[in-house]
Amino acid sequence: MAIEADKHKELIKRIKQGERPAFDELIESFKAKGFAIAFNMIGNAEDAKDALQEAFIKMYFGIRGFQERSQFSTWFYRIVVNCSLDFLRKRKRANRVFTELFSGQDGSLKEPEAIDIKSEPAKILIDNEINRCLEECIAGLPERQKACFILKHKNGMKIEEIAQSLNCNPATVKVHLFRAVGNLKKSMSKYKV
Amino acid sequence: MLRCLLIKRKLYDYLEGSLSQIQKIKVKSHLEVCSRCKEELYQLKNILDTASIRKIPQPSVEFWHNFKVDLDRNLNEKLMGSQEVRLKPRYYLKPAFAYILVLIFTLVVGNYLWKRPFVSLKLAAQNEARIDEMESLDEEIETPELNQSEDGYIDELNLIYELDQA
Repeated sequence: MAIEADKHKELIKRIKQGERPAFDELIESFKAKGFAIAFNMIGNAEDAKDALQEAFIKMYFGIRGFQERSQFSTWFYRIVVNCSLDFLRKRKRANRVFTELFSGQDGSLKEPEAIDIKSEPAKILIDNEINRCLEECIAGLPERQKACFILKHKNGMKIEEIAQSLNCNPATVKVHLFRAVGNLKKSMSKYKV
Repeated sequence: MLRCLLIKRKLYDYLEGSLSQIQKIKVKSHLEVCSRCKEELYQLKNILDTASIRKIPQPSVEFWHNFKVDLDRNLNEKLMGSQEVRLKPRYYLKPAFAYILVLIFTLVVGNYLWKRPFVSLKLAAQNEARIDEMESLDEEIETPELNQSEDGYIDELNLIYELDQA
């Protein structure tokens, strides 16, 4: 871990001096984790690719301003999260999906039909349906709640890491998580999860 | 009921394992007797488990190759763009420069307006002096002309008289 951190510091130093190959090496180190975050935030691989590219470009132009007071990884993950949120804001995909899920043709909210999960033959189908609905409910959460929930429960980050990545307090992250879980429970209770 | 409300608020932390030992025991003992809270815990656990089992696709080598190619192209475009911006002449005024210009303009105009009354007084005085000078010159010029014209007139009369006699 310490060796990796030293390697990253060296790479950052070289990038600051204008060495492009060092930037390529840094991409290799962070592309997988960055892609996982962007994919979980956005929900599809192609858009996640675009958001990640944007994040790497912003990182390249902003690395001279990186003071190395925090870890590079948290700084970079913050850029990825912000790029993903920007992407979602631009497309307004989250709102559209959420509206499509719960609104009727007239735009009014409709009650999802109750599903009987006790029927064995339909179990796999229902599980898939529940997964899909949950993903859409997560996509419909407010920005900060969604970011906290995804980073915690999908990317497996610790609360302190999330706080650093989102540039806020650990207590704030806990509040967002609590609210996100409450909202998801409310939405998913209609499916008798 | 009130106890249930308090316990429900702690279920998420209970699942995350972030409660203190005493609180954990309290929640656990409540869950053993309360079926509603137990059901709530079950729902919460299901949601968190379902959320965490979603698999992230493992992108292929080709995907990453395309990613790198696109990234290099976009980065080069942005680098070229920033150089072009640097090469372009700047026709716009920077705010500080604009402030300085406005200040200089104000000083010049103020200075002009401040000096203006004295200039007009000076001009008025000069005009009066010129008028006096002109009047005195006129007086000087008019007198010899008159004298000259009288003598000439007499000379002419004398000449006419002499001619008549002749």
